Amino acid sequence: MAQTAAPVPRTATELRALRGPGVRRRAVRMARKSPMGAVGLLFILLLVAVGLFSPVLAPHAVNEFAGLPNQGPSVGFPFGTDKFGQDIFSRVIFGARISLEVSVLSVVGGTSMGLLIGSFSGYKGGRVDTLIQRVMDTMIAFPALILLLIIVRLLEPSLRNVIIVIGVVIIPGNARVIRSAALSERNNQYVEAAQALGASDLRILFRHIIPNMMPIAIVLSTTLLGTAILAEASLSFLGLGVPPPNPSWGSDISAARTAFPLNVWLAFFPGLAITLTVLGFNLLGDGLRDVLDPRLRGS
Amino acid sequence: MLNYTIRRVAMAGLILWFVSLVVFTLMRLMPGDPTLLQQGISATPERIAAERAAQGLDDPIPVQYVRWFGGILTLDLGRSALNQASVTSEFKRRFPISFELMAFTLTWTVLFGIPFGVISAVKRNRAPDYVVRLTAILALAIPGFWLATLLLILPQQWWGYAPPLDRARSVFEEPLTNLRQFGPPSLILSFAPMASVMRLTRSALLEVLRTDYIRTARAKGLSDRAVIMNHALKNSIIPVVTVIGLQVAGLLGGSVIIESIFNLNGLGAYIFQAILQKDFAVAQSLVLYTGATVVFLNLAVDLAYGYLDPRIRYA
Amino acid sequence: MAEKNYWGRVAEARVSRRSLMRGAGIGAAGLAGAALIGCGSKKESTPAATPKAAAPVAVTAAPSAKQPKKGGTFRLGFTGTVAGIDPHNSVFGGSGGVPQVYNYLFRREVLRGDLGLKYDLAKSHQVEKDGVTWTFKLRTDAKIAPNDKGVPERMLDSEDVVQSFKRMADKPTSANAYAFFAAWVDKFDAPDKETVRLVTKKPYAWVEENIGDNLKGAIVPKEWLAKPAADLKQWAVGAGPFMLKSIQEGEGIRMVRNPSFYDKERPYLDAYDILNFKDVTTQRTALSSGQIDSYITADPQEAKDLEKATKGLKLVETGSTGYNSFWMRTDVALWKDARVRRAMNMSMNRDEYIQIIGKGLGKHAGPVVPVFGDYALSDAELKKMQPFDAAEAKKLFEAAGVKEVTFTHPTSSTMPDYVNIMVKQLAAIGVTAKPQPLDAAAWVAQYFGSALTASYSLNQSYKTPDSALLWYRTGGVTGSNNYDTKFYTPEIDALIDKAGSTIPEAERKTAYLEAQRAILKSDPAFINVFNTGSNTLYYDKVQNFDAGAGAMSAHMTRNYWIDA
Repeated sequence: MAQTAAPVPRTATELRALRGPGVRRRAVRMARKSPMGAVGLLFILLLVAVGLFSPVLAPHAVNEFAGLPNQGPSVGFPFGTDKFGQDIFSRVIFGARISLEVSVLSVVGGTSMGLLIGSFSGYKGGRVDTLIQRVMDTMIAFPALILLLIIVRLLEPSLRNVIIVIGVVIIPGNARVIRSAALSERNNQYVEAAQALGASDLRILFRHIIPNMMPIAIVLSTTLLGTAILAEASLSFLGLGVPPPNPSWGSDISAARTAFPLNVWLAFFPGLAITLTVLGFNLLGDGLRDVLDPRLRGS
Repeated sequence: MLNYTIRRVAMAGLILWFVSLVVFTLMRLMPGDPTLLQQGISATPERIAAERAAQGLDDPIPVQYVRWFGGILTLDLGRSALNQASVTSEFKRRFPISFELMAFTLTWTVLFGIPFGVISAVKRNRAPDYVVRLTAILALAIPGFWLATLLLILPQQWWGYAPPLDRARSVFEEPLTNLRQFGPPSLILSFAPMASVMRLTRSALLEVLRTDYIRTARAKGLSDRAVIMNHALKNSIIPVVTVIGLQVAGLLGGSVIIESIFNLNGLGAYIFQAILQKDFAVAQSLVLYTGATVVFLNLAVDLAYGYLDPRIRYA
Repeated sequence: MAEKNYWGRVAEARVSRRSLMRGAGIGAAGLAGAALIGCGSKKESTPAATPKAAAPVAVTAAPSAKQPKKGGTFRLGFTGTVAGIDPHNSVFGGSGGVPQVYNYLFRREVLRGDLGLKYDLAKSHQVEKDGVTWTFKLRTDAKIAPNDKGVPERMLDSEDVVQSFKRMADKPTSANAYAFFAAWVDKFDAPDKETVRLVTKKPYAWVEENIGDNLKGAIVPKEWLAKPAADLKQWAVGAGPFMLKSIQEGEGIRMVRNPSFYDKERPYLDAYDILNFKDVTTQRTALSSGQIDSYITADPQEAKDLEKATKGLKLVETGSTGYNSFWMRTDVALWKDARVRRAMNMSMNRDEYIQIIGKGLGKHAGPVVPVFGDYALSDAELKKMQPFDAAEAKKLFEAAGVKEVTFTHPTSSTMPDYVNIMVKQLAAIGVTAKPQPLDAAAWVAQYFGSALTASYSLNQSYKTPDSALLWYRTGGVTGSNNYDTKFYTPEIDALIDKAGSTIPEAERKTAYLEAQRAILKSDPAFINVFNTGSNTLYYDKVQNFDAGAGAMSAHMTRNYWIDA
């Protein structure tokens, strides 16, 4: 789905407000100030734990034909079984791992690239900046899901490629936001001072500009994690995502559709897992923004 | 202002030209061959070669590009490699469907997004605010394809109800049937933009409510209601309108999955098929079209801002 | 969604009304012949050839005692793309629309031996004693339907047949029937307006099946053939029972009764719609809510559930020619080793596939699938010739030093199921299988160019035992070395050719069994995994419904009527 997650700050003023000291102190206050954010954080931590310990937590191996096929929820199979007799509960647990892997790696990759490109573009300015911006504009002109489909068709579906594809698609948006922040950073006196002292562009970029962009990048990432999960699920739903036999919530929903009309739970639980995970990331993203910039609270 | 406008329009044109190059190149790099898909297993290499030749698919790449792009300039979007259908007439047939889906979606977005945003801001940090905010954040989290699947199947299973699934009915000829077909998918599509608009309305309104002139208005003894309706909302609506404008861009390309599930044959379902099957002209022309809507709506928003706020022009 | 695989689409093309997602093939069974005669097919000529029952046939509907009523619409659904309807070279050509709008000399299918041969444009035919000269006598009242494409509304005659044959034999134009014309047909001509003669190079057992096939045998008015090729992809004009009203990607094909049709009584239906869906869930919802009248699935459980949950819906279980296969290219070191090919075959627990995917409905399959009856090796013999033997497979893999196999498969909604089972069965004997999904479009392009090294495939169904064995014959399935395993022997080629040119049926069956035994003994590079079943659901208001899709079934639609 071309769903957008929580909007990200766009103007330089908004962005500048996100930076500054006391992040950690404010994070502690987050639980008090933003209970919804804390709930999100808790949920994500839980999910990470589930992802890390899925082989221990899941009662059955991921592709084990564990019980009778097409059974409803029961004590042995709390979420029921699919047409193979695979335990849906175990698949949802293993699916958490895939979802987290895809979303975290693609967002970290995409945001890092966006951070580099945006910082460089904003710091250098001039023709380089213009050229990079036109390339980013071109990418943004493609609706996200369509760009995803085209690149996935170019690369062929595999876990690695799904990560790459989602990462690539989030680059331009990130780069744009970071660039406008970097643009204003460039005019700061300390940058001019460093230049006067003969520091190289590369040094200024990596010692001054990029570190100052980090908080923005972090906020951007949090909001994008939910989007990335939805993107992975959509691709898998279309049969172009994480290939079998990997468990993926999206492809499990897709597979479950043929189990309708009678076996609704097959699609229900993976769908619920997606919803709760994205919800968790969005709550966390909101909370994080609250903490980093109370002025933007709830936007 | 005129200078600025000319510069921006030229830039938009340049970006679209880039888009055409990119999509053309990507389609050529994709593995697969649409003629092979269409001809099937019995086709000999000679048959495939003849089909490719007839469609000009073995011409030099630049020739193919010029032919396609030249066609675009004369509003000829090319022909499908699979069934030779004219993309222009397919576009004409499908655009109204995607357009109506978008119109419905926007209606829900505005109808629910703005009022609830206002409620949320006015009742800040009280129960209604939390309910609205939580609902919004949930709406952003639900995968649309999942909800659409459930919304199609469950009513059928429970009550034996399903909308007509064969083809989209005209809103003028069968308005009620049309509503049954477009209502549910547009509602699902509106969830994400509705949530964005609601959140944005809330924060924009809060921002304005904090400004001096609102305080002055309040100090003058105007009722809360008057303050919000006459002053605050008016001033906070601009960013909201912007966001809505940008949503239109996304929606005009149609929705790939929702259209497919409800069998509404708009542009989204068509683009998806075309990309999967490497149907050159269809994919290229329609992706270029979606690019154009994004670029021009962005341009319109920027120009409107530039007009409203002269400082932006020089930024 | 639209992730249906290519083979599924091909299969669909050959079979008018099946869901693509399934990978199953044609339903073998259908109406008993008696049922049809009972409801007024008296005007149809009696077949010249003796009906040859090839397979067990299920009776799908009781003969309708009621007087047929005119009117009503019959609606089918399909998922996929309206990919052009050229009758001679597109995969969509055979499905639904084309066989209703164009004419065929007659319809004939091995699997529908119960129905014999149904004449259409021909009213009789015979083969000379030499076994190679075929003469067809044409009816003189097949009038071309009203149209706005400039095709005159005249009677079809032998010239139309000859022109159509010419197109089928033309290498750059023809796809569907090309292999038949190239390999077997010597010449054809029209001695007079009502007679067509076709001479084969040597006696061939499957002439009627080729000419009587939906995809291969469409007779097209010569004026329409003379139009640009693009026109034939987008529209159809003929003298068949229905005429085209609209064809649109996403909406499907709509047809209405041809007022000029030679049988003044039939078709009973006013209209025949083949609706296009993008998603099988949507298609099924359309079925449950009565928006389409029939649906085919390979999953018996799904079919039973739907029948139970929907009033008026009837289920017919039929055999199918659909099958899965594992394809290997033997110029690759790994698959050149006969031990590895044998180990792959032995590692397959076919019963598990049948249980899990077919829910018990499905059969072990050799080169010819079991619905072909005596043309296929018996279940007992198959289990002996390609046994499941995990221990032996493990030994063979170890002896060959193979710990890992990589293979490609097309992405589709059903493919993960098959791949899961294969991965699991190989893992059980210590071999890591690495499946590589390829988008269907990319997969078929590489498969066609024999650029894959191994592939798990859902294969098209086929109409004769002969076409099944082409996978093992030099030149492969197209005769032009496409989808090439590069594994052929002159001995097997000779056996396949001998079987095809053996006319007496009993001997021919033996010849086919001989060829298959030789193939299996050679550790073939194309292994059939199992033969899926087919389940057809239809609303009982459709009278005279014929559940066995394919050419015969396409002919039967003229007898359908809606009892509403």
